[in-house]
Amino acid sequence: MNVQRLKYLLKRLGLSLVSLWLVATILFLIFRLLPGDPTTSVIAPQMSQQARQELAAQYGLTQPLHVQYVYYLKNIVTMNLGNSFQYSSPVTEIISGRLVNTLVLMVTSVTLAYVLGVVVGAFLAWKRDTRIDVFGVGIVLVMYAAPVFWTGMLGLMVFSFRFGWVPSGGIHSVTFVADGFWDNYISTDFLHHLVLPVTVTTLYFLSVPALTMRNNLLDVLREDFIEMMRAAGLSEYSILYRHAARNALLPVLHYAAVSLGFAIGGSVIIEKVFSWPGLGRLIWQATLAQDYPLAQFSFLMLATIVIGLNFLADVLSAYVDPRVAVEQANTGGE
Amino acid sequence: MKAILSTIQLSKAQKIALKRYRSSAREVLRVFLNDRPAMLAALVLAFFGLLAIFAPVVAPYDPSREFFAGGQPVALQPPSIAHPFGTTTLARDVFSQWIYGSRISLLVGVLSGLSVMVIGTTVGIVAGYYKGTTDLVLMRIVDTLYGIPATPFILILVLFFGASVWNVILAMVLILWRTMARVIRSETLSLAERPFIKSARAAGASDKRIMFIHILPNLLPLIMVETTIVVAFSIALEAGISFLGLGATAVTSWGAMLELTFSSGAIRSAWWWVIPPGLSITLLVLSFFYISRIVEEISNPESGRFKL
Repeated sequence: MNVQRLKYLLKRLGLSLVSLWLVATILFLIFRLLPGDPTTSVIAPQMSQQARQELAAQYGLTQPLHVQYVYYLKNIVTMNLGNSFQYSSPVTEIISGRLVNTLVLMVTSVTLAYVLGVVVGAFLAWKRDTRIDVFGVGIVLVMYAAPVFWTGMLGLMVFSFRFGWVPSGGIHSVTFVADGFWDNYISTDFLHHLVLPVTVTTLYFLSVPALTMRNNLLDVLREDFIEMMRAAGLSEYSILYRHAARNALLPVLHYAAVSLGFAIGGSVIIEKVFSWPGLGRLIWQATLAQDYPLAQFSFLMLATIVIGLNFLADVLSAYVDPRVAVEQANTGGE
Repeated sequence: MKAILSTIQLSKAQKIALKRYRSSAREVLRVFLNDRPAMLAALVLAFFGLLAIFAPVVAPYDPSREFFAGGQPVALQPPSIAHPFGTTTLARDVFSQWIYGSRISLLVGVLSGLSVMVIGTTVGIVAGYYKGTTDLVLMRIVDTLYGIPATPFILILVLFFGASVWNVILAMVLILWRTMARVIRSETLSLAERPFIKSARAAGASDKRIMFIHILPNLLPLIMVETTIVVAFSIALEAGISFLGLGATAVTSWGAMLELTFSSGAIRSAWWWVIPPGLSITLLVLSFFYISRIVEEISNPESGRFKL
């Protein structure tokens, strides 16, 4: 049993690493083939041809493609990602700071969305086929269908520009001075900036757990053991929250990791609305500025997180439901 | 139609098949008419469809025309009779832009949905039917795509190919077929084990025939459900990409309208410019969700769930 699970997880880990390598290769190709010499964006256009070539050589851009590729992979493995064209500071330094900002926002809202979503989903399943259920599902779907950047804009219009309750973007006030790293994230100034982005994204992410929980619970409520409990005289409330909900909850948890990956991937758009200095906004800015080293490795960082979280989801479901590992190990399928 | 049909001599088996087909069509219509959200969704789709088709007729002005009054641009005006949805910072008519925007959203949604449907279904059936190495290779590609965050990927590809509606569609299709392929593959795997497939094989049917004559029709409801969801996603994604300032440049799209309201700082006051495009995207995406649900409901009446 445990050997099978271990075998399954090792296999998934291997496949994740293969995926990561493939993504890195695709990124390498895309960025090498992108139109426009990367050096044109850093160097003044009036620079002489010779000086430009020297700079290209300095960045290794004159080497043959396969040599560049080997260097590229070596640099990823040793975490030596070079300097940004734009900021001329190390890429790793810029990325790590932005990554923390993205994670603080997304982990908070995905966690809140799953806690609230599960409760909402259970409630809707309890009220199944009533007017409350129909309207509730409708509201949940509207929150999912509305583009998150638009709801963000509406939030800014009302709560920032109209009432002035929250700041219109960013992570700190201009006057803010942090005493040390942690002060950046636990000060009231930061929380004040966090309120609106977290609220808007939580409502957006809430739909998936809510509808998944509702669907699962409807399935569980159809099973025989529920009928037995009803026959034994347990109250509807007790059946739902003490017995059925537990069984329906486990598959939802599996989605939590996947959702977090999805949220971090979507940070490009969310962070633009709230001027949130995170990884997604960094990719957007770096891509527009043709700062290729920075764009490339921020993207690779996002992909690593997504792949890592998908693997985590596999680990979770293998532990929560041992059948997964056994079946997969035997069939060798997905 | 009826007259032609009556002149044709039908065999007994054909008559039964025809009767069954008619009663199932009536049944589908009945389920649909009884579902109020699905009816509303169909109305919303019809509304935007007509708006898109007849945009040049319905729109009062050219969406890029700039309005002047006494030499001054009529910029950021609230709704009036001349401009039902007000004007933009560039003194353009929001109402006309909103009408033309429906074209982009529907075009992107439908084209991307159909392309994903074709690619995803083909890959899914081939992988699920042949299994073995074919399956392994195809599913490795799908797995890799699952590791790629969609929005930044599309962003970079659009930058690579150049900003246009067609390239946005192309970039979206390149990543979105992953889900379709996975879902169709797993359904094909279970269908291939069913007795009727085995007997078809025993009767000497070719692989191609089994895949496309025997398996494909059984996948149709699932394909329809998944395709409508892809359409919804594509519309939302295109809006997001346009909001990043990288979508359609030559034409007006709802996402691009919102990008300009945001970047010009007009969201401080111009609610008339913010609400119509965003609300329309929401309604359109929502309608496709409800359509996918009714298809699911018709093909699998027991389920009563929402797939996302």
